[in-house]
Amino acid sequence: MSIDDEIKKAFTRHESDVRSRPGAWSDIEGRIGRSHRRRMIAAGLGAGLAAVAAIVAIPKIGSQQPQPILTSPPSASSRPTTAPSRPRVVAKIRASVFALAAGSDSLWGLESAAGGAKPASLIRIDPRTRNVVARIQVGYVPGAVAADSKAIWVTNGSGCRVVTCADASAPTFRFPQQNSVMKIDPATDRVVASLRVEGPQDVALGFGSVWVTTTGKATGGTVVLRIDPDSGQVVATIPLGGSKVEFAHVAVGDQSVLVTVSSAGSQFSEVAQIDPATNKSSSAARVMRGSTLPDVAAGFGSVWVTTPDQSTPSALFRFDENDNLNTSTIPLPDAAPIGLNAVTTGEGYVWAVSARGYLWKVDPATRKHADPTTIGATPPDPADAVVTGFSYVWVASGDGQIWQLSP
Amino acid sequence: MNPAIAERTIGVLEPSKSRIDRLGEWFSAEYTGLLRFAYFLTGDPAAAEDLVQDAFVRLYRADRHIEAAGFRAYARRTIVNLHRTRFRRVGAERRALIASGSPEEHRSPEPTDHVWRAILALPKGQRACVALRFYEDLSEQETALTLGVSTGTVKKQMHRAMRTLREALGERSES
Repeated sequence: MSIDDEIKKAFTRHESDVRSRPGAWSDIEGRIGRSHRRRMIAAGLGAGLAAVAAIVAIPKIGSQQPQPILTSPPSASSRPTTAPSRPRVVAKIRASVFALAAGSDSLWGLESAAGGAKPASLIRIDPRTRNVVARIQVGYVPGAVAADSKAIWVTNGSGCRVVTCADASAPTFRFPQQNSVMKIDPATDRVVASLRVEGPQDVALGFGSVWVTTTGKATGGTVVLRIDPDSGQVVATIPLGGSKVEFAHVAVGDQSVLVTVSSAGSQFSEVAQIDPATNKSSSAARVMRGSTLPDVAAGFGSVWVTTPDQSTPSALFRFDENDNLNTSTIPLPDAAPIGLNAVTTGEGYVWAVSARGYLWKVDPATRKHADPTTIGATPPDPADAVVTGFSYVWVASGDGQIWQLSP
Repeated sequence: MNPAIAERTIGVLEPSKSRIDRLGEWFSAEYTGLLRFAYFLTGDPAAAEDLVQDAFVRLYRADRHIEAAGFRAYARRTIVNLHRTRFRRVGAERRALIASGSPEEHRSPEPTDHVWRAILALPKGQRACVALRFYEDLSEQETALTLGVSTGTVKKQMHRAMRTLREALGERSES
């Protein structure tokens, strides 16, 4: 066979390496729509500036009344109704973390303890250079991390990250390695406070407070602690009920604090809503439970909860934050039995990651989603956490890397 | 409202349906071919898809009238140019990652097909020529037109590519 034939056959053999994806044109249409929106805004700004110039200039010229130029903002009907485009992988950072936070000009990730032989670490990553710039020792069983411009907060559980393992088999550590909430100063990368908290789980920051979900010692239900970030004092204890509760996620919205309450053995999880003005809680929603615990996020005036749908184990349940009305479910087509691990909002979209290693991007306005982006290797590594910050989306993958994506 | 300004403002409020529709028709007709061409350039299915998507967005934004007859060549040239730009950018990112001790970047599995491996090892310009010549069955003139280079450049690239491939495949068959 001639070399020409060999080359031709090689191309033919590899034709089927790529296939046309059903949602490909929708992605392109979505991107074209967005580029138009940007142009429209630019044109609107230009015309607006012209109008301002006219208003300022005309009275100086004479008595003629200025005629403002009206440039309408994009109406709902002009909004593209196509699916958003897929995010683009920019880089990967070698770091095996299961929780992420963005704040204090850094990305923060929680590493698992190596078989309990030594305490776990909170790593600090410079989002510009993608270098790990600090490694801070925390507890043996850290659960969650939250960050803002003033401090980073880490919860250290009592021996099992998710309270489903038998307590008798859990290793025993001493305070502050267990049952604590640590405060880290981003200026020095040191733990500056350890607060003793029984069974802390998730942590979120907002309304001038640190919000920590815990397993109530007496009831076994979920209890939320509201902590003053400066004094470290618990300023409110808010019981949410439930029994033998599993990991309770917490998120801070525009008007309220949202908490998921999942009791062992129940088919449903509750979403509780706390009014930060009164510290009173109410039940906001009830969602189906799948093989993964529901996570909650708030943004764009809505609350977003991961839940299975009748058609798929991966779906988002949405409702208005202000009145719990206008509910909707957004199915994210996936195969059973695994579902979503985490949800967050930012960079203009809602983001969810699945145990299958999918990253989903959902347009909060149209509620349409892009085709999933596969994170990790094949067979799938689970995607454990997702956070937005510094104009990027960051996903903690089971492949031992943090994936950086351009939204 | 100044009618001229109003017209300009309204002109950008809605994407031109005809342009999108026309691009959609071309997408239906050409997408698979363009995807394969991009894959032959990159050797990475995901990068190929991104490249073609970028190319369509670029074609839409180009704001110039593209005839149906010239679309195929123009789209391929856009893909080649985007690939060249991205190659530079990804190269810079990879260097930055290596410098930071994290050399993990998009890395496709090592191909086991020796001919394919030899093709993918060619410099990007030569690989584009080989793909157009052998897969698309374009003439040297058509290849030059598609890539926006002279026929002489295509001849030179093809000569070098074939010499490299002969050496690579010859060495394999000898070993």
